[in-house]
Amino acid sequence: MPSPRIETGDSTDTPQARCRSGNLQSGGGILALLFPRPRHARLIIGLGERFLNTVARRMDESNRHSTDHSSPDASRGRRIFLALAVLIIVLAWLRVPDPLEWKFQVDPTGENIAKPDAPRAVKRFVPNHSGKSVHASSIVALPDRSLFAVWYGGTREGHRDVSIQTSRFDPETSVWSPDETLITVARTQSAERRYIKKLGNPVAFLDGEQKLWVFYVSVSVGGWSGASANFITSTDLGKTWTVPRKIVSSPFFNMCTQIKTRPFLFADGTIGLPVHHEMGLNFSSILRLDRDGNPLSKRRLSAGKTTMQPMPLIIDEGNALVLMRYHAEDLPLTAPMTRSSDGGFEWSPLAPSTLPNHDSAIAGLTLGDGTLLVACNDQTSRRARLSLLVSMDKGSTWQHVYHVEYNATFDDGSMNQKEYREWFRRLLDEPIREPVNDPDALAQRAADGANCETGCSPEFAYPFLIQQGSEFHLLYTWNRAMISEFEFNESWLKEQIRGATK
Amino acid sequence: MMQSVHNIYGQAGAALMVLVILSSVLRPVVRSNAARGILLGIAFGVSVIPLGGISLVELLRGTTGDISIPTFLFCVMALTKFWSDEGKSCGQTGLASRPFPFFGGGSLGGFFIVVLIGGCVFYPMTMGFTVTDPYAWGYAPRWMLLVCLLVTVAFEFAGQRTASSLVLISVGAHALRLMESTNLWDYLLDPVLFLACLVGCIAALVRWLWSCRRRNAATGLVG
Repeated sequence: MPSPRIETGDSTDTPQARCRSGNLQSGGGILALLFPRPRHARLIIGLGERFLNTVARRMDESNRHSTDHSSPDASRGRRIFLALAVLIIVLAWLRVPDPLEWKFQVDPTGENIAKPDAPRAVKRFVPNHSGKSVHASSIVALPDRSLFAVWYGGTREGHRDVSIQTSRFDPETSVWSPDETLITVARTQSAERRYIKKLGNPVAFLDGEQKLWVFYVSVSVGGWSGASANFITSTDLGKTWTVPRKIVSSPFFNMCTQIKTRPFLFADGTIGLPVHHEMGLNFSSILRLDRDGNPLSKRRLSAGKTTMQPMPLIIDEGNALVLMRYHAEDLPLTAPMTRSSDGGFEWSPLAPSTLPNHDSAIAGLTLGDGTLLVACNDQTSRRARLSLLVSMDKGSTWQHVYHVEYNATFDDGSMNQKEYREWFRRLLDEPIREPVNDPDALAQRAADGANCETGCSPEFAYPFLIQQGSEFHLLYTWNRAMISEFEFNESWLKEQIRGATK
Repeated sequence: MMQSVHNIYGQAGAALMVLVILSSVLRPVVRSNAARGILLGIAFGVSVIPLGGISLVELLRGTTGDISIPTFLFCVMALTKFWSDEGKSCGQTGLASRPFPFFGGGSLGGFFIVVLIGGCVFYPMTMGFTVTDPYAWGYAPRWMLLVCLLVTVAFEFAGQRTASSLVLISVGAHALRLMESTNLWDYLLDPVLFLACLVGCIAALVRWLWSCRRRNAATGLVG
């Protein structure tokens, strides 16, 4: 059937023309307000009429060209086509995953299972034999009580030679193994059959079936805003690995998906991977993956341009708090947060927390007694101070507990590179830190890598915190020269908390 | 190494894009079908052979990601048109002038308009301008499938079987998990298709406005 058409002729006695006349009168009244000069209104109306006529004419032509309803063959063809359509939709419907149960799995390592122990805390370096710039470490405790750490290292952040490095900690000898290369650009490129420019942020995770995951980001075009997530898995706790696989999590060339923080489990064993978008706007989401790494759902935590690197703290099966890196200059310079009380399906509107933060990563976990423990740069500028803070009221208020790294000398940013190197050299002799080989060379490397344009300032950043029974392991970037580990036990932490809350 | 179906699809899509771009360049200068066939064969060979460890197809795939099913099929249609060059003698141009034989007759205008309007709403929302993320709907897309069925029926009754077939094939490909993605949106839409529709519509609008202006000038409406 031809579509209704607006006549453009001068005749005024046809129904279409009468209709048009009415429309023009009402439309003309509005246009007269917008265009006081009748000539302009006439031009606009004329253009609109011609556009509608063109569309109508095209639709008529299309209908005449492709459909002839009077033909029995065409009618039968349509019935067959529609039956086929219904069949395909039904088949697709049957492939849709079952509705998800939204319930968190409470981290078993957060339960209070430890026997009382003497307070103990120690700092040690994870080896970096390559001497390259290192950043963004992550750690996971394995069932044999060893630790598995990953980070990225290369000439500099974003360089094509950056690879994902790994090391294992042997609890018997208390020694980290020599660092090894786990994932390279070439390996990812070969497996995923596409160009990869650079790698970044790896995150290690052990799921409920003892499958070891390493998520990491890769970039094909542009900077970190062009990142997408990838992963490899191991069912033998890291002896052998699958080939890299890409996670498709964005409709825009699969770009803009960054990861940094520790994943968590839902009650059904699926994985919650905290991700953030980093292109123009900066916002956070939780990507839910099945046991094979296929996305099942994505829940947005925020919109706009102020949040990155969401860090979930699971409180119980239904409740969680997510703190985010604050990527803006507006006050207050504190970590934005959101809460869920329905297992992660809905999240509250973004609100500022009282945790000091300005554009730096946060790590944290929930202790067995419900206390929230985080590690972050609790400064409003720089990343020279790395601290432990606790919250006894589920994130409403935060109490400083301990400076993992801090020296007031850096607060004014007046130190030159020589002073800076000497300070680093003294830092390596602090009693809590295990001795290192050739501390002079390490101090020199740290000073060489420092940005001293506006006064040298160290970088103790990108913390990653886990609990293993009564022990805690905090990994962080030590001035891009080393990955440092701070190990402490529950007794030590309780002692610090008692001291801080006195 | 055995390649996955996802990688084969992704690389085929990138190879098709390379061939379509080359075809567009060659079309005005090469008239012979045999010569076109040879040139396309050479172009295909060059695009899949790794040079410096990476092939042109892998380079393009890294840049654009995997193209959606409609874009893939449009590339196939464009190549068949390049091969046969039918429709040119009738004075028709563009993809709609010679629909791919499988689809039967029909215009694609409605499909392009749906893609354009859908993309204008969808991409800003997914890129963070709202808390609602429509992309998330595509992971368990029950109601999206119902919408697809309605759109298919609407296109069919509007006489646009090509458009309804595109929607249906995309849904079928999603059911078969032909692509790396598990999200239905990635099967229906991609930025290449959206940008092509956007540029095409803007160009058509400019042409139409220009022709209107000329007609109005002729009739004395414009000074």
